[in-house]
Parts: sequence; structure tokens; C-alpha cells
Amino acid sequence: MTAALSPDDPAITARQRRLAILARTDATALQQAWDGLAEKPRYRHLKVPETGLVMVRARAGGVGQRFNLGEMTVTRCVVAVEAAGRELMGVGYVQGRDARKAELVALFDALALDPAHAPKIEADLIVPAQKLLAEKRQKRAEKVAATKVDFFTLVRGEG
Amino acid sequence: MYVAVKGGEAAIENAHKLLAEDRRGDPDVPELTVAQIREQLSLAVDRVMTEGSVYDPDLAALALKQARGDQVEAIFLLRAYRTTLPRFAVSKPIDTARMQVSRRISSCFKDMPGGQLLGPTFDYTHRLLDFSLLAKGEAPQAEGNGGSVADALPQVVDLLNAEGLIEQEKPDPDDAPVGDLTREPLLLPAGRDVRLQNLARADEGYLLALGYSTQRGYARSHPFVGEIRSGEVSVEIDVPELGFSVDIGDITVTECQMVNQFRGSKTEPPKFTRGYGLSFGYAERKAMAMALVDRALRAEELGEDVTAPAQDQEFVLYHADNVEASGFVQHLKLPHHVDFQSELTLVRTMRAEIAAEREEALREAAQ
Amino acid sequence: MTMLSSAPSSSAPPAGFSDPVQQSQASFRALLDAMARPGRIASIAGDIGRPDGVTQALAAAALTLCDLDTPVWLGPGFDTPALKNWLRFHTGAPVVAQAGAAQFALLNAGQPLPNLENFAQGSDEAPEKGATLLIQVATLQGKTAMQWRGPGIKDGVAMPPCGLPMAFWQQRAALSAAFPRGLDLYLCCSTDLIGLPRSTAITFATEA
Repeated sequence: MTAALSPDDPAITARQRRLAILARTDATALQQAWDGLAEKPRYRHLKVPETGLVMVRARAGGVGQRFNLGEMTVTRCVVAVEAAGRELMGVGYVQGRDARKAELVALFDALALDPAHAPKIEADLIVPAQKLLAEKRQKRAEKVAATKVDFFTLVRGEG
Repeated sequence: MYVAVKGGEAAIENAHKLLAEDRRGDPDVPELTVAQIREQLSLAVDRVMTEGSVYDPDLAALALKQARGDQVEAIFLLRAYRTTLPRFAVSKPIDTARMQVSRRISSCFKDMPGGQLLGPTFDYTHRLLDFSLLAKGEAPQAEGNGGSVADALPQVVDLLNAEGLIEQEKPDPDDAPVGDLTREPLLLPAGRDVRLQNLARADEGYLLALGYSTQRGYARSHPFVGEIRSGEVSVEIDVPELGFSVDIGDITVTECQMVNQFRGSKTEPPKFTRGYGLSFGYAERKAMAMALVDRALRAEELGEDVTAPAQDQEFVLYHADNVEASGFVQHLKLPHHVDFQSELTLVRTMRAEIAAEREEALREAAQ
Repeated sequence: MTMLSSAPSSSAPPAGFSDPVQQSQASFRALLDAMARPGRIASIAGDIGRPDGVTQALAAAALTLCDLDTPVWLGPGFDTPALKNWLRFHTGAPVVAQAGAAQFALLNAGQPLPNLENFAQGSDEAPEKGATLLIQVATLQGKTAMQWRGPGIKDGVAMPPCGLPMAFWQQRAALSAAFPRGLDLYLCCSTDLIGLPRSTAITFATEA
């Protein structure tokens, strides 16, 4: 599918970054952030949360011909949020079957498009979540690095 | 001929109740939670996800619980569930070179950029039963030693590429169709796309035996593990509602790049060839067996004689799916009363005819 | 930020089904009935959002039948950003540039129609790969011009040209020789639609 917009658009790359972090954020952290909003915006569903599948594609040898590896469960939700007298569309696609999480991701996706909400969402939700993900990743990488092995090749006898 | 049977509702219902009781086992023993299965029997979960062809650790764990640990039954349950869901998207090809690795080894090269990382492996354990697991223990903690792992590690087979010693895997054109066995029936000869999907869903034991057979001389391909890596890769989809792509999360996969000897042909100089295996989760044995069979199935493409079962597309691909195989084998348990009655009549008639002929022959001999 | 809010990706496209589960099932039933009883009008009621210039019956058929696995081709008059955006948002169906690659085509009879030969007809082994055309017409009424006969029609039914030119009907007749290959059609007008499967044989009034 061709992108409707230039993928280099900074607004799109910013939104892609947010969505990637939100999709990996714990559902309870998202709920807490929502509960912490001073004023909840009015919103309606353009698509109610629904669970479906994404076919995961791979390449032979990692780089060659494409093939279908298998599917994964995904839940999506699309909302229209009222902000500053207009409606902003927010989209949530999350791995697994958590309907509320997909809805919260969609809500924060939309709210982050509103200049009145964007800085707070970035500071209170996105940045801490990104930090947590990086820490988790780093911790794992350190444990894995400790299993790095140097095999010694012993010279076999002649003949 | 199939003849429907009716009745038996009460017996079936009671059988299901008995099954439920036996599934639970001794009620004095605490019930297993799905989370426990997901966390502590994770390799069983990985196999169910790979062969059930749905990445969802919770559902795979639930299927295992419901199936009393019977993997093929659990795979069946997951396959049945997936048919109830709509498909939202097809992902962009996952980039295994950008995997956050938990394990990465090569049997071809001792020293390689990024190093050999053993990760959480059973290799080098002594296969002695660990009786300490009988007792309730502390949660063990692995530790770092000050090092870390790069975000992207080069593929070891690329080292051979540099010298032109191994065949190149070439990407197909972006607009080329990609076969999908969940949408189209298997047709022979199958392209590598369809073969790899079939093998990814295939029964591990079956692939293991076929892979083993190639090592024992039925289609010798002289394999080396170029590289095995396990870890997390991100999944990216084009979101139709947005018009651009979004990264929707990480999945754990295991990849095996097998390097095989190739003597060359009239047109090709001797070089190494490749077999590829990929699974969900930490299904390493499966990925290795898949890579061996993938290479064996490339015989025709590489101008080799097709002499062994593992090289025979029809044999390998049509018998690989354990849901299909189990269905056809197990359907023999279902009532075949009418079929059997007709067989009985047939055997009795044939026997009566033979007996009559013998009697006739004896009578003639006596005369 | 004003740039963001004006971007198409942050504003909602026109609505689709107001009650997706009920309406898609009701529409599917109507589409099945129409195809099973060629020539008989089926109606699709309810509140169904759609882009300007698209009738309710055609919109409902598109929302019900199209999905990720069904490439769609948009004919003259329908090949607009608004319709593409709406279809993609609600169905995820890929819009293709080649008519022959499409499983479904959305056509407007008020515009020049492409030759029916251009669409996928399926093969003898897989006749189901023949395309289904959703054609928006100005009317389903008019003077009797032909007889439809075949499965789902008792005896025969006298039909008007349904706002379609004679050239169209001749192309359709020419294709019928290739049965079971062929095209299935829905003729849509306002909230009504008529199914015309490839199995229906048509004789024209002049031949009768």
C-alpha cells in the first residue's frame, strides 16, 4: 500500500515514534496516565476495539524471497477525540487482545496531536515509557553479553 | 462412503465431564494458571504458537491447559481459534539482522563480529535431573558482567558473501504475490515462499526426522550451522486508517541459517548453498530441522537428483501439517460401523466362495 | 500543529456503517438473496455513511464484501481520493491500478464503462476468481428489453436495461460462452440492488 503522505514528514515520524512506544507500554501505565488527566476529553469510536490478526512476513535467509511465517493477534481501535473545537482521529494497534489498551493508545495518539495536550503527554507518558523500555532492553543485553563465549580450538595430533 | 450417526448426546456430554475432571487432576493439588504455563512452560508455548501459526503466548498457554499438555491438540485449538478472526494487515518483512538477540551462535566461525552469545540454552547442561526443582525455590537471577550487545549484529553468512563463496539470497520484487496457505490450497510444484510457510507450520517431530535423514545420507547436503539467533524483532504494518506504517510491537523468533556444500554444476562453480529456518519463540530444534529440509527441497532448483524422501516436495509438504495428519489418522476412531459391516459381508462372501471351490475340487478329486 | 490537524491522516474520513455488525450482516443477507434470485430487487435500509456521489446500495455492498484480501478497482467517476480514503479506512482493501487484478470493481454507469473483457474472468479450475462488479446505475426500471433465465429464476423474467447501454449487454452476452468463467454483477440504484450472476442467460426482446 502506498503511503498517502511522505514518510519523511516530521509530523509523521514523530507520530510513528509515539505509537511504537505506546504499543509497548504496559496497559496499567496507560490507564494511570488516562486517570491522571485533569479533564477527560469527549470522544467517540470510529472503530470499536476489535481483535484480529496480522500476518507476519519474513524473508528467506533473512534478506531474500518473502514468505508468510504465521499470524499474530492484534487489537485495534480508532477514535475521534474532541480537542479545541475540532475532532482529531487517533489510531491504536497493539499486539495481543487487550481492547482497553488499544483504545487508550488511540486516545493518546489523538490527544498528542493537540498542542494543548502534547507536551504533557510527551513528558508524563511517552518519555518515562521510553526510558523504561530502554532500561529493560539494556538489562537483558547485559545478561546476554555475559554468555559470550570464546571457544579455544585445540590442535589435533599430526596424521 | 460416509454415513451419519445420531444419538449418544448423553454419553458424549458425560465423557466431556469426565475429561474436565481428569484435566483438573487431584483437586488437592493447586490448579495451574495460564500465566504459570506461559511463564514456566514457555518452550511448549513457543511450539504451539509456531505450529498453530498464531503468535499469542496467552492463547497458546490456554490451549495447552485445555489440551492437558497435548501439543498437537493445543495446536489444533489455536488453529481453530484463528479462523474466527479477521486479518487486519500483512506485516512488512521482519528484519532479523536488527534482532535484539538473546542467543547467537555459529558453528562455522569461531570468531565473528559481535561474538558467540550462548543465551538461555540447554546446550552444555549435563542432562541430569535437577532435584532442586522439586522444592520451592527462589527465582534465579542471571547477571551481567559489564558488557552489552549491539542493537544490530551482522549475519554470519554475509562473511562468506564477501568472498562470493555462498549463493546470494535475492529479494523478490515488491509487487510479486506471496503465497499464503491460509488462503490458497497447496499446489505442486510449490515455490519457496509456500514451502517455507508450510515448513514453518510443520510438525517439529516430522521435520526433525526428515532433517536427520538428510544427515544420514538420504540427500546428503553436508550442513553446517552458519548461524542461529534468537531474540526480539519489531513488527511493522501499513495502517490503512493512517496511510503510513506503524511499529506495533515485538515478537520473539528463532532463525537458523544453514550452510551446505554444493559441488557445482555445468553452469555454476562450486560454492556453498543455503537452507533457512524460522520459528516463533525459542523453537531452535524446529528452526534447524526446517533449514535442513528447506535445503533438501531445493534439490531440483540446484540441479541435484531427487532421490530421497526429504527432497520430494509432494511427500514432504503434503504430510507436514500435524493438524491435517492427526485429523485423518484420528478420524479412524469415529464410527465406521456401516463401512465395516460391508467389509465383513465381503470377507464372509469371499471365504464362502473359496470354501465352496475347495469342496468342489475335493469332490472332483474323489470321483 | 495546524499542519498536523489539516493532514488527512489526523482527520476522520466519512463514516461507514453506523452499526457495523448488524448492518454488514443484513447487507450480506440482501446481497446473497439478490444473487440467488437474479432480477429481483433487494433493498438495504439503515443509516450508512458514504462519500458524495455514491449510492447507499453500492456503499453497503462495498463495505460488506471488500477486505484486505480483495483488490478493488475504481472505475471512472469513482477513482477519487475521497472514495479511496473511505474504502481503505473502512475495509482495508487495496486499490489496484489494473482492472484485471481486481476481485471487485466499483463502476459508475453515468461514466464511460470499461470493456467487460478487461476484468478477471477466472479459470475453468478456479472460476471463483472471476471479478464481481458493483455497478451504480441511474435506474432499475424502464421498458422491457430482455428476458433473464437461469438458476434462481422461475420460467423467466422480463427486464429493463437498468440504465445500462446496449454495448454493455452485448459484452456481457459475449462473455457467457466462457462459462463457468465470467463475471458476477450487482446493479445498484439508491437503496436497491439487483444481482446478475454469470449463470443467467439473457435473450434480447428483438430475438424473442
